[in-house]
Amino acid sequence: MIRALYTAASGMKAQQTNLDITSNNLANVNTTGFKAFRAEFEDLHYQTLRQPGSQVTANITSPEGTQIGMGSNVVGTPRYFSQGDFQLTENPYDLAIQGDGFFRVIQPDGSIAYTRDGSFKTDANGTLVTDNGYRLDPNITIAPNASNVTIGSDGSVSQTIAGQTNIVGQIQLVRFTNPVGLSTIGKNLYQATPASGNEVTGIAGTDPGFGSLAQGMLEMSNVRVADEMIRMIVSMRAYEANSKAIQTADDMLQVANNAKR
Amino acid sequence: MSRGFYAAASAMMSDMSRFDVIANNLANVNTTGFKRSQSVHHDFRQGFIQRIHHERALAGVSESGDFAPRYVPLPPAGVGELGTGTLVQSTWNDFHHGTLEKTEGPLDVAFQSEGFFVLQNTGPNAAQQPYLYSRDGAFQRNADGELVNARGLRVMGQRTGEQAGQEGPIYISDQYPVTIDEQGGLWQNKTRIATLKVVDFDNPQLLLNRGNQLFERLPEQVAFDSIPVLKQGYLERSNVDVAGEMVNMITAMRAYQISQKALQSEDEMTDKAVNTVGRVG
Repeated sequence: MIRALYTAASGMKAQQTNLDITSNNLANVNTTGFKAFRAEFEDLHYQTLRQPGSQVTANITSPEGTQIGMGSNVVGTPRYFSQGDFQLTENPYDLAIQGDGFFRVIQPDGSIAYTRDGSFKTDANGTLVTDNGYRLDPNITIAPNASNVTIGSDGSVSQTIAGQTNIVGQIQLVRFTNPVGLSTIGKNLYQATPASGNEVTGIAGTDPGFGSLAQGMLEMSNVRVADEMIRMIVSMRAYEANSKAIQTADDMLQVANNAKR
Repeated sequence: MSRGFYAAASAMMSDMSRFDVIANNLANVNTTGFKRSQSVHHDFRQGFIQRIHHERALAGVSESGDFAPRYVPLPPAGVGELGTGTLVQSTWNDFHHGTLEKTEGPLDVAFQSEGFFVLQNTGPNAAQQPYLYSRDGAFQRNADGELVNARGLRVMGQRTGEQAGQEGPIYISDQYPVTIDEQGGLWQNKTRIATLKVVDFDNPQLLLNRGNQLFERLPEQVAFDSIPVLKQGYLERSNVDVAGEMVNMITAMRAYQISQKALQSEDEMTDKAVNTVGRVG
């Protein structure tokens, strides 16, 4: 009926998505290794009623055209992979990545997933697993009678048994050309996609571009509450403005209907 | 029928278009790099009205000696011009700068000057228009390591090193963090890997909107290289001012109502003419 109704509705929908993303960020303000999302918007197609430079007369062209836009849309929800703050836990199996990189874990169905959440535990066999019980790949098994488990900044794991220190294994990190392209599957896990590119495996703190590991620390969420609050206010006000536009469009239609008495 | 009827209707239609443009601005109040549109209204070609019974009275005396004016017909003369309505003549983009928002994204770039980023057109008309232009600097790196926008269009740059001076997509290695300087130079490991291509136009408001914050140049428009002032880790927000658009919306709404009243009055007058004046019997 009237373009503005749908244009404003698209604006409201986009702002609703914005608020959805903000509330998810706020809900994960205490999630270990969580990376905040943001909504990116785009303007939609334009209806070109008249092309600029079209002929007015044989030798005069119009300097401007007429284009009416059709609203806005969420084009993507990229994550910010900025570093979160560190929290000292002193738990020997807690690992924080300082810099770029992900841990590689195996899901129960055998597929590979990646995570920044380094709050590992040991299962009944002494194997390092995530909070959900997924094993690290390659897996690391700590002997049940071992004491003093040390994980170096390069990811080498050593244990002491009866006064003898030996190396158990090496935790490898992976990184991606475009981490923003990773798909999120929940539980702090990511999966590779064509947009993220293939994984590059490396040794923490040694291979170029890889971050180093810190034992006894966890990386907290990188969500900043103040920023999210501002985003919430902005999206709320934008939502209001668009709803006013819908009201006005409705009023205009009413006026048009009242023209005939 | 009466001219006023159509004049009022044309005003209602053009106010509706004006409102459509305002609604689009409001819908894009959070769109990065969006530039608000403004509609321009123009009156229709004016009608030239002429006087009927155009004659001049001359003083005269009748035969009986009384005062009696004499009417001399004159050649037809114009009274003036009569407007016959309005239409939306055109829309143009207002390229005022939007405010900068700090995002800390390493590949987010905002303009602090005039200019446009150049993106490779992959659309159907790529042969005629190899490049598109945008103020939206929310860039990413694709799986091949190329710098792209949110829609995956490649960002053009000037290469350095062996292919110095060549223009093409910018390749970013994943080994080192990227720094972008004020003039658009991309640095990795203290080496300049490329420079973002930035162009400007003489009349940017003539650029055609393509959606997705992309602009297309007209065939006669020339894109010339420009040296920008850029800021890394920031994005340029939409330049839509909500308060201003609200005022415009109220103005459009009221103008619409006024035109509707004019339409109604015209209708009433016609009603009188038909049903009261022309009553038979």
